[in-house]
Amino acid sequence: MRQSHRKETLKAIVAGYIVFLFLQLMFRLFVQEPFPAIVYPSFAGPLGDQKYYIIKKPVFITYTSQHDTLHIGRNKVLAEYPGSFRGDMMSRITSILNAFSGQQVDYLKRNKKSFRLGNWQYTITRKLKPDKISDSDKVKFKKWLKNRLSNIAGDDVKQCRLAWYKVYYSKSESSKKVKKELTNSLTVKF
Amino acid sequence: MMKTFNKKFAYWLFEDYKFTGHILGFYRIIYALVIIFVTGTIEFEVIAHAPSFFYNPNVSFASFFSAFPPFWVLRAISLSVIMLMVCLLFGYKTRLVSILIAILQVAGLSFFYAFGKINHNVAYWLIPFFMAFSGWGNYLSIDAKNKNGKQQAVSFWPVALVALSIGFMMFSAGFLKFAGGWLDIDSQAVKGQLFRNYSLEEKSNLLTDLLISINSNTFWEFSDYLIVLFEIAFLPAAFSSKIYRYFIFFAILFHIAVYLSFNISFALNPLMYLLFINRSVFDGILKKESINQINRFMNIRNFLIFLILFILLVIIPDYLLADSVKKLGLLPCLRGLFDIPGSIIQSIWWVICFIITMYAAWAGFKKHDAFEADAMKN
Repeated sequence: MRQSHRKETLKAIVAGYIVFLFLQLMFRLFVQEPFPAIVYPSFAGPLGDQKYYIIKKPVFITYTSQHDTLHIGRNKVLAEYPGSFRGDMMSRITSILNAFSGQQVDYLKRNKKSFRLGNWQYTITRKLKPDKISDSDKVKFKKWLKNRLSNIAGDDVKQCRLAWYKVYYSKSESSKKVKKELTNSLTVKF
Repeated sequence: MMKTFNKKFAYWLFEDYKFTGHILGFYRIIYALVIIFVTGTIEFEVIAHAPSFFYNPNVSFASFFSAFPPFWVLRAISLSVIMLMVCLLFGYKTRLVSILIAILQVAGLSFFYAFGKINHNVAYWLIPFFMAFSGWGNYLSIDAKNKNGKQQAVSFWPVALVALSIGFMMFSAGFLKFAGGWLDIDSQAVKGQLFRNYSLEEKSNLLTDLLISINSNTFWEFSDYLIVLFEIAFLPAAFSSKIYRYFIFFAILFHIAVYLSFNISFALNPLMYLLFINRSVFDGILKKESINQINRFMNIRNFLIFLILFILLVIIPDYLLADSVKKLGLLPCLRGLFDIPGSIIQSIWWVICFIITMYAAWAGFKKHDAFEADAMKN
């Protein structure tokens, strides 16, 4: 009797767990991915159009006290952090630079998802996590970025421009680089 | 109809994933051994010195805080987790230890992912959490010895829940790909992701160049559809252990292909899959003699010796190597000491997984053939 009661309770808990699984997936879809969550990464979104793969690449263009200009990629700037974190960290850096300049450069923040199957399409809009940056964090960020870039450049960096490029690779010619286009840039003076 | 469904649901939950208590105990040992020796646990303290402006957690335990915790807190969590893994290996206070591991891993990881990016090393917390309720410490353990050799109950509903969770995770990946437009005929999303990974993340492996040189849209679109359908079908497959075993077999091959092309290694996943591969893999190992030997080894004296050796050979060198090691375990520590490239260890790991998978499949087919032959004779 007791055993059977226990089994019934377990069945109810597991049924509740199945409902919970779908609810957290909906939360992931419409709001953000919580942690812990029973979901895997999506690697969502085709990159490009019919002709090209389009990859968004950020470059830190630094201007040193010796009037040298140096182009530094994100992997060098964020080398001490795990590779998988760097995309989101770049997004954060862009948000902070936005706060400095009053611009709204959007990077990696896909707030729209479209379910497509043939001609049928359904789009949902996702609520994005607000970026809160305190004044003290802005000061700390400026100091950190200057030090980091100066260390890499081996010289005192006076100014930095974060440039976002769209790089086009041909789909038909063994992914050959076709063109590169500047989409946005944000400047910070140290 | 409701009655039939209820009966089938009960069968799936309590019977379908049933095996022996010894296999359950042996799985616990393998789980702890692989984490202690091969993969290591994450050293949460490596993020302690990250600037506070990077602190931007998603909804999690970390979102109750406003900055990364101090170094000593994260270090304490890392050390506790690896020490508890040693307790788990020997099956000492197994249920409590398993739950503590799951809680501490979730707490540590929620800070680790406070940069905004969540990695999906779910085996670190999902397995100990569910298996705590399975009685995986009731066999081949100190706990079993403390119960004076009395047969202890084991439950298999937690195994069914692990199967369901993995199935759901795969489903979520497939569903989100579908939501992201992977089934659009012009997408060639696999190649796009491969190319992004190669050109932006600067990641490549043995097959990357070869695959990038393939320009056939049909090939790539077929890959898109195949992956989305395979991942979505994983969820219904979890409701039958027999079908699920085939999915697990292909999932391991899938992960190996992803590793060789994208250089993305879901190294902990095979550890979860081990619960579901053909049980005949364990038959050769879990003979009466070896069960007795393992039982003899699982005692407090050996536990303490192992713990002391572990502290001397792993924890202290790890502390001295601080900056070059990002995982706490024997192999990560050796990697730091001798500067061994991570790719070598990853590759060896995947070769081992491949051999075990193939052996499981072969043993399964062989067993199936033998069963058929017996049936024919009768």
